[in-house]
Amino acid sequence: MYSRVVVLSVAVLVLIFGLARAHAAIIPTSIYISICGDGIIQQGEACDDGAGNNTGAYASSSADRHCLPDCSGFGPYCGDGTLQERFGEECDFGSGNGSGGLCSAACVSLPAVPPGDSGSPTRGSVPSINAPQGTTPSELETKVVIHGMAFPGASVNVLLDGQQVSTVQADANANFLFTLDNASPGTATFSFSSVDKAGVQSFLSSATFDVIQGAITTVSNIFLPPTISESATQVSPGDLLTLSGQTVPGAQVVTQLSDVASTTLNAPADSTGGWALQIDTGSLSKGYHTAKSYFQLSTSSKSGFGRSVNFLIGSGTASSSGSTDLNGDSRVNLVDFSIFLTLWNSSDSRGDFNHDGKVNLADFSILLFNWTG
Amino acid sequence: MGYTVRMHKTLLAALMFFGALVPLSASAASLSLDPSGGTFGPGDTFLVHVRLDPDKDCVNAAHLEITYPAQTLRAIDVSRGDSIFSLWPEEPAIDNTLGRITFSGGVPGGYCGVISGDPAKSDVVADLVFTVLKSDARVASVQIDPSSEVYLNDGLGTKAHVSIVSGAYTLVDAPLLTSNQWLDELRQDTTPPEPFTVQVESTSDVFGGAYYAVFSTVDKQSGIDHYEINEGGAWKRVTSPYELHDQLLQNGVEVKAVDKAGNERIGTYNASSTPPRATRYSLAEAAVLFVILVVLATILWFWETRKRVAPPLS
Repeated sequence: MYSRVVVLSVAVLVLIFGLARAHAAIIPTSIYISICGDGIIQQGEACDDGAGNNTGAYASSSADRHCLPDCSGFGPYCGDGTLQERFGEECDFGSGNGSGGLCSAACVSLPAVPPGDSGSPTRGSVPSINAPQGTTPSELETKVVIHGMAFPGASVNVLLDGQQVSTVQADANANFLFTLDNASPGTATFSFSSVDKAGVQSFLSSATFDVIQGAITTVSNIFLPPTISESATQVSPGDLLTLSGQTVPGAQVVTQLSDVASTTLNAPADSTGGWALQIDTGSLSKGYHTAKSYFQLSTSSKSGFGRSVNFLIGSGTASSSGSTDLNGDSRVNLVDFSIFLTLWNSSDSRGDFNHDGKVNLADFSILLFNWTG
Repeated sequence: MGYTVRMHKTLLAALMFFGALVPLSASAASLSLDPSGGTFGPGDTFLVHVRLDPDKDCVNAAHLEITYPAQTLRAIDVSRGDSIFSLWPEEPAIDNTLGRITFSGGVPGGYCGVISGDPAKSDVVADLVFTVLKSDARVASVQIDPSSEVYLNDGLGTKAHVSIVSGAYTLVDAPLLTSNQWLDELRQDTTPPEPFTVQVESTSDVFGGAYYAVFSTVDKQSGIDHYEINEGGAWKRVTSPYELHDQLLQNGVEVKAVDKAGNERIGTYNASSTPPRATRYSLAEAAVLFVILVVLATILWFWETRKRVAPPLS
C-alpha cells in the first residue's frame, strides 16, 4: 500500500515541479498605452497637442496646425496639399507653396509669369480633391480605445472590472477593436475572452491601467493566447498525443511542455488560425505533464501563455479541481462569486476547488482564473 | 473505499507540504507601502498607498495584514478608489485596538503589472489613511505582516513568493501638514459609483433555494463605502449576496451603492431576467423523495384495502 502512495506522491511532485517550472517562464507581451491628450506623442499617435488642444481646427500654416481629437493626424491646414475652399484657400500645393510657384505660403493664388511673357496673369490650377471636413473644438471626452487580436471571426467578450460590458467581432485576420465612449476616469481593468471555432473557451486576457480624464486612452496589442485542447488526457508511453487549437492566422504557436526539463515545440497556424501539434510521448517521462501555448508574430509581437492542459503518460489517476461554476449556468461570474462568499472560510467541498479542506484565498484565486463574466 | 480516501488525503498532504518547498519562480511579487517614510506631527492625517508589483508573474488575489502602533496612529479609513482589485471576499477591516488592518481582494483575469505608457502607475491595492495621535514614540512603524499572501493567476491557487517593503514614519511634536489630504479627496469626489444592476437569483443549495440579491460595483474616486437595499420599505445596510425578505418579489428591489464621500448610485433589477425559484432539493434528492412517497402511498393503499375487505368480527 505504501509503495503505491510513494509512487503516486512522486508523480504528484513531478506534476507540481513541472507546473512550477512552467509558470516560472515568462513571455513578455507587448501591450502599450498611448494617451491622446497628454501632449506627448506616443506609439500609435501622429501628434498630440495636449488636453483641450487636439481640436483638428483649420490652421493657416503647417506651423499652426492642430492635431485631430484622436491624435491620428492633423486637421486641415494651408500646406497640407489639399485645397480647402471653405476655409478661403485658393490653392494648396503642399510643400510647394510660396517657393516661387503659383501658390503663396498663405494659399493664395499667384499670377503665373512664363519666362519672357509679360502678358496678363493666368489663374493657377487647383487640385480637384474633396477637402476633408474641418473639425470644431468639442467638449473633452474621456474615451478608451483597445486594439487586439483573438481568433478569425470570433465574438470577443469585453469585461470592465470583471463585468461584461460589450461584445465585439474579430475580423478574418483576428483583429478586434473595442471603443468605450464616456468612460469613467480612474483605474480600470479591461478583460477579453472568446470561444474558438471548436467551442473551446479562451484564456481571459486582462489589462489594468489608468483611464485619463479628458483624453483618449489607446491600448494596443491585447492578444488572446491560443486555445488548446488535447486528444487524450491519458496515454501509454510512446503513443502520439495531439494538441490543437486556434489562434491568429499565420502565427507561430509555441507550446511549452512541463517536464523535469522544460521543452518547447513550434507549430504554424493555418489561414483560419487552426494549429495542431503531435507529440511523441515516448520522448517524455512517465507521469503527469502540462502543456500551454503562446503565439508569436514577430520577436516583439507575442501573446502571453493561455490555459494549460494536463495529461498523464502511463498509469494513474488524473487529478482535477472542482468546478468554479457554482450555479451551473456555464459561466463563472458575480453570481458564482456571491455563492462562493456564502462558503467562505468553511470546509464546504463546493467552494474548496483545490481540495485542501478549506474555502479560502487559494480557491478564490482559482475562481478568478476561470472567470468568464 | 477507505483506502482510496486515505490515499487521496495522503497525496493532497504531500502535495501541499512539498508544494510549499518547491521554488516556484526566481521572481517574487512585491507588496510595499508608499511612501515608506515621512515626517508627521500629532493631528496630521496622511495617506499610504499599498502597492503590488507582480514582477514577471501575473497574480489575481491577495490577502493583506497590516499592523501599526495603535497608541501612536489611528487608522481612519481604507480607500479602494484606486484599487486594481474589483472583488473583495474580505472587505477592509480596521481594528484600532490591536492596530491591525486586514482585507482580501482580487481581480478577474489577473494583474500582470504596470503597462508601458500608463502614467498613473496602476498598481495600488488600497490606500490607508492614518492620523497621528501622539509623537512620544518618535517613530511609527507600519508593517505589512509576513502572513500576507499573493496568489498567481495560474488556476491552481499557487502562492507567489512575496517580498515586503514596510513603512517607518518620523514623528515630531507639532503638525506639519497644512491640510487633511483625505478630507480634501472626499471633498473633491462628487462622482457617484459606477452604474450597476442587481441580479435576483435562486439556487437550490444557497439560502435554501430562497431568492437572493447579487450586486457589486466600483467607485473610482474615494471607493465604495457600503451598500443599502430597499424592498419596498426603508433602506437597510447589507452586503452581497443578500437573502431577500420579499420572496414573492412584489415590491421591487433597489440597491444603493454609497462611496466614501457619500455619493450614491442606485441599481435596480430586471424582473424579466429573474429565474424561477429553485427547489430546496436536487434532482437526485427529489427522485429519492418521490420513491419514498410512492412506497408510503402503496403501503397506505394496501392497508386501506385490507381494512375494507376484512370480514367483520363475529
